Amino acid sequence: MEKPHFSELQLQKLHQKEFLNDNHLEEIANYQKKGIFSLRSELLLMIYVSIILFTSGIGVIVYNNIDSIGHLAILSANFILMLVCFYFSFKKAKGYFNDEVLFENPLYDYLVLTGSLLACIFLGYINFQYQIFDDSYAYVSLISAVLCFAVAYYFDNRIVLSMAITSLAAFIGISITPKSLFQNEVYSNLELTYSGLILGILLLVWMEYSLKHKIKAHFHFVYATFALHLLGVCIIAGLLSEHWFVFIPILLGFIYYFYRFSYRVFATSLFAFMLLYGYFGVNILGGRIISFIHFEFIYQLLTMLAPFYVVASIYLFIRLVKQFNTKKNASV
Amino acid sequence: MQAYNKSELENYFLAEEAKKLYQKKFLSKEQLQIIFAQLVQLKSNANIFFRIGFFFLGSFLISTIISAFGLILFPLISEDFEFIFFFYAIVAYIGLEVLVRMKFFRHGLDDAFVLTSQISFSIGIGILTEAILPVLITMLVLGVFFAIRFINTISALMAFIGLVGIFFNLIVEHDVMPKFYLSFVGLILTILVYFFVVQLSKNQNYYPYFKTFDTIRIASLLLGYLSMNYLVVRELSQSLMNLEITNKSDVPLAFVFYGLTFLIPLLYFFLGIKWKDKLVLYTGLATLVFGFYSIRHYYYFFPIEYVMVISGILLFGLAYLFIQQLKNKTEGITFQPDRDSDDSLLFNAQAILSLANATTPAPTQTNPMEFGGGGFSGGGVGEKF
Repeated sequence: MEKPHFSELQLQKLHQKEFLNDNHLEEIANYQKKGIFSLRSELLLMIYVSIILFTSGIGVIVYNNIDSIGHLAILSANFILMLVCFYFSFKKAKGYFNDEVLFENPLYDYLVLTGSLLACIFLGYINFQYQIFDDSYAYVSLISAVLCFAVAYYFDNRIVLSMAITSLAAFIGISITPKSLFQNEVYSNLELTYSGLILGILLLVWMEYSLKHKIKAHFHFVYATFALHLLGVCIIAGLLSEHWFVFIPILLGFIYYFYRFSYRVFATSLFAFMLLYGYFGVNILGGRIISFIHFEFIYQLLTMLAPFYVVASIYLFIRLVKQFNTKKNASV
Repeated sequence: MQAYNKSELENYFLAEEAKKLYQKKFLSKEQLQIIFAQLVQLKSNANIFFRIGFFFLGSFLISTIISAFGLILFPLISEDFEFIFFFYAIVAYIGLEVLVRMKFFRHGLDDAFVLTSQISFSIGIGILTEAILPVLITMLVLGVFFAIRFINTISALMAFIGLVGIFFNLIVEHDVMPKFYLSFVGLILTILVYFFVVQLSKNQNYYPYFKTFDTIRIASLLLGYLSMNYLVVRELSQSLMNLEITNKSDVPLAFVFYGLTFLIPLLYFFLGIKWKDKLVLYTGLATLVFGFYSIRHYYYFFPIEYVMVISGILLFGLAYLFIQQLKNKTEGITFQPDRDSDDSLLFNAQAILSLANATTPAPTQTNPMEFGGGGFSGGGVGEKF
């Protein structure tokens, strides 16, 4: 029942067509014989899920026990646990470098994550209990963000980095998570569109700066993904608002920038989502412009023309994707 | 029967195999490029984002074509609206054959046409006969046809749903046998389908269908579990057999279902490891989570936050134990990275995943439960337990 990594038949065919030589076949056969079944990603993911479960549970317990006798105990336990996490992380860490630094044992990355999560819970709690910043969570978010940024950069941890960016966004007032994106509840009000734009652009500026000076350059993907979605959603929301014409140059700039950027780092997901937001934006713009035309048969005419429009856009996309893939495969 | 040119298909799959070899670092980038330049003739999208994007564009295209046609046709027909769906199906099928001639394969565009054609035809049958059974039979027949002709996994899945639906419908509405046997029929169906597919995939000449076989295998494993899961059995017997379940009475053979709710996932789990089959392993994990959820649905042991903390600790302990066991093994089941594994990819994925889980409140909301950026209040996780 055990399935080999490569099909013998296909290998033979590749051999016949002289794409593989005897050395290749021997090397592959040796590898297949070992029957390697690596559970690395699965186990690390399990660790990740367990930490998320644990800290979420702790968060809820702390919240539920506010004002009860046990809350101080829970809180100190939380604090001590956090200190333990960071103590061991610092002990094993190799210190800060601008390049990528990995722990020898990948489990320490998750220890850092646990510590940061517990720290955020702790901060949120003491603010609630002692009203340091009134009832506002904005400053707590900001402090969490600063803390998480520091931890992320020191320990070279991308998961904590994404927490830091989310906290920063929360400070500004946008809760942008894929979940809220789908449920269409990104904003509390439209002015946030502008703050969202500014945050997105700032993230990109910082990313460009750090790419240029090679400060943790491998963080670029997290920054770019976040900025892409933030800007994309803001632009779409802006185009649907009253001041839609303001967003036309921003849309064009967005498409141009991410088109160039995805070619620079050859990130397929960035390219795909750039196309998605760009296409949405252009279509909304088209709809806006058509709504100005007062011509009786326009809708019938449009319905007749629509298939040609879609075919044309499909043709365009196929060309774009093909070009991207060719460039991507030619590189490295 | 296959719509595609045989040698082009063969070359496509050879190129796929070469790509796998490249990912496992047996081939260099240059060698892969040479192979691709010589072998790739079919237009396809390996990247899932592109494929989904083109799927939507394809669906968009079909709907615009249909509405353009409709503008001319609808004023002409005042009755016989049931034939509209057959018309859609035919339009989509013609479009599909055109795409195949243009060598689109696993591209996304062709998927949209395959799916529209099948679904429209099934809806048409449904309107025509006003019964469910013919629709299910159509799903099965068309699904098998499309799956074989266009080597399409979604069609095969539709066929599988049709097959399961036929049995379900026969038992529930046509009273072929007592409804109580429903879950056992499901289990038998699972075993039959699973081993049928395994037999098929032993023949190396069916290699274009291997992905399809894998999908059907997993679908049948899921069916097998769901037909024995306590939650599903209990809910179904309540709604189908009007069983009253109180504190004292339970569904017949309840202990069997209780046991199997956990034994089947564990079985999948061990088979996955034994057969070195990640798909079976993942099915085992997913069904195990659903098993815990099913029991918790009826029995309230602890509040959810304690369950989360305890299960977090247990899960961590388990994973840690496994890692310690497997750390130094270099052959077989191991914690060492495989030749193609990429930690960077995993970290990126988890970073994005943690965005998905984070429920960061905007400051205007005053829900003190969610703390800043870090307070994972269990939005994404809560459903599991």
